[in-house]
Formats: sequence, C-alpha cells, structure tokens
Amino acid sequence: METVFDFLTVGIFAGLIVLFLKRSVDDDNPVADNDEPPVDDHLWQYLVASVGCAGANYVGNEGYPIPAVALIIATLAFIAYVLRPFPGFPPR
Amino acid sequence: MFKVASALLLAAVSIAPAQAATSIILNSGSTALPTFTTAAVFQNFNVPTTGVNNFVPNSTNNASVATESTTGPLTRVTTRDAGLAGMTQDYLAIANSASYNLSFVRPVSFFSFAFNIAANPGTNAFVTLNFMNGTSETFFGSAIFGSPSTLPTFGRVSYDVGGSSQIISAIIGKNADGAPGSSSHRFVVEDIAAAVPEPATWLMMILGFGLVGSQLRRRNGKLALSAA
Repeated sequence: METVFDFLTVGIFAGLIVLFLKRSVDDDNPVADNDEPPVDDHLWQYLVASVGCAGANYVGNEGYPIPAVALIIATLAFIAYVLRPFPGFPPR
Repeated sequence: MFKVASALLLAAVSIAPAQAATSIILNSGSTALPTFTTAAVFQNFNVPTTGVNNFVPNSTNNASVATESTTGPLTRVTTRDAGLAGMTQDYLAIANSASYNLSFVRPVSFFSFAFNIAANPGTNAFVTLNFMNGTSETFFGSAIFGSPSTLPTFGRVSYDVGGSSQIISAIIGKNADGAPGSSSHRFVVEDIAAAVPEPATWLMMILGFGLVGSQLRRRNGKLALSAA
C-alpha cells in the first residue's frame, strides 16, 4: 500500500468483496431480501471487476496514470451497471 | 453501501499525500533491510574472482530491476580476506568524480543501500533521486544518511517515498573534492535494494475470495442457479 493507485484499487476491490460475500450468503434469507430485489449475478462478473482493479493497479504503478484512471472508471462503471450495488442506480 | 464506498474512496484519496519529502531511514551498525519492506537486494557486486577489479555495469545485478551505468573511476574491491565492517564479500568503492547510475525498469517507491564510511566519503559524496513527476532530490554528505548527530561507521540507508511520486532513477556518486582530496577517499556502498510491485498478491486475493464465495454459494445452492 504505497501509491495512490494501491489505495484506490484496493478500496474498490474491498467494496467488491463485501458485495460478493454478502450476495453469496443472504440470497436465501427472506429478511435480508426485504429491501433489495434479488440480483442475478455471476461469478465471472466479479472476476472481470477484480481483474479491472488489478490491471489498473499494475498500469498505474508502472507509470501510466491516464490509462490507469480510465481503467478504474471503466471498472466502476462495470460494477455499477452489471453488479448493481445500489438498487435503482443507475436506472435500467 | 454508497456511504461506505464513498468513505473508502475519500479515505484513499486523503491518505495519499502530494509530493512529500522523501523519508530517510538509517539503520546504524546493521546492513539488514527494514522489516516493513518487501524490497530485495538486486546488486551485491559479488564476483567470482578475488582482488581489485574495475566495476562492469550490468554484470552481476538483476537486470529486471534496473540497468546500470557509470561515470569516472569506480572500483569494485574484494574484501573476502580483510573486510570493511558490514561489507560482505565485494563492494563498490566510488572515487572522486565518479558516479554509479541506476535506471529502474519499473518506478520504485523504496531504494536502499548498505554503506561503510571508513574510507571517508566526505561532504562531496551525494545521492540523487529522480522522480516520475520530473522533480529530483539530491543529498550531500551526512544528509545522505538523514543528518544523524553521529554518523555510524557502517549500516544501511533507505529512501521511502511512500505514496508520492515514484523513483525512476538514482545516482550514488562523489564529486571531485579539494583538500583533503586524497585519492584514497571512497564512498563505499553494497547490497543495493529496491521495492518492486508484486502482481502475485492480487492473484492470491482474487483466488482466495473467489474460493470462499463459491463455497458459500454452493452451500446455498446458488452456484448451480447463477452459473446456468
């Protein structure tokens, strides 16, 4: 944890893991599902987002900040549109 | 969730400082690397022959970390029989008007070397660090070691830039000095180290969490459903 890209990408990855584990455990729990509609997620979608974080971290630490920031934004967009951590945002 | 995510992002941005001063870590009387770093020695100057040899750049170092070049009279001295304190086997002795230049293959956040001042490097010895953002920093004399009140005979000095601009190249050298500009004055360095990124960490994190998540999903009967 030394560069700004380390903090950014590991932060996003941590949020992704929380989302992934939460959706892995509470799918059959009717109480937990009260406020959120069920999400049809797949393991590979989390893999794509994780590789996005790892790739952005690598590219950023190699000394290419602009491609790294573009990759971070693309990863965040992928998470927001495909994995949908915030119900109702972005609207479908 | 949104609050947590934005707090994480804010924290990540605020922790990383703008170009801050390089922190200099001095280990007196020990050439061991600080325990907090993943840095590894990539140049120990060891050669199979004994005796005094002229230093040949890119001969014994790890070329995947840095490429080397030199200016002026550098000498690699074998100390297997009568060593300077802390210097194992061979070391690099930098004479007046000489420098040892490193160009890192990947920018590094941590740069470190062992030293011995018995040969009196003097106030004309210097270390220059060139950063990715175009700035550079040069330390002369005891400032190389963080200006301690008493200079140790030998030890290790490390430069940690933390989250600020990474080091792309470094120079360890010695300007021509006046009196007492004896040719016997040398800046003696050994065991050059740098911290390089580790992509394997990401692979381990992704595999580990993927395994835990897939086991949880299998237990919940969700994997078969979602993998369809």
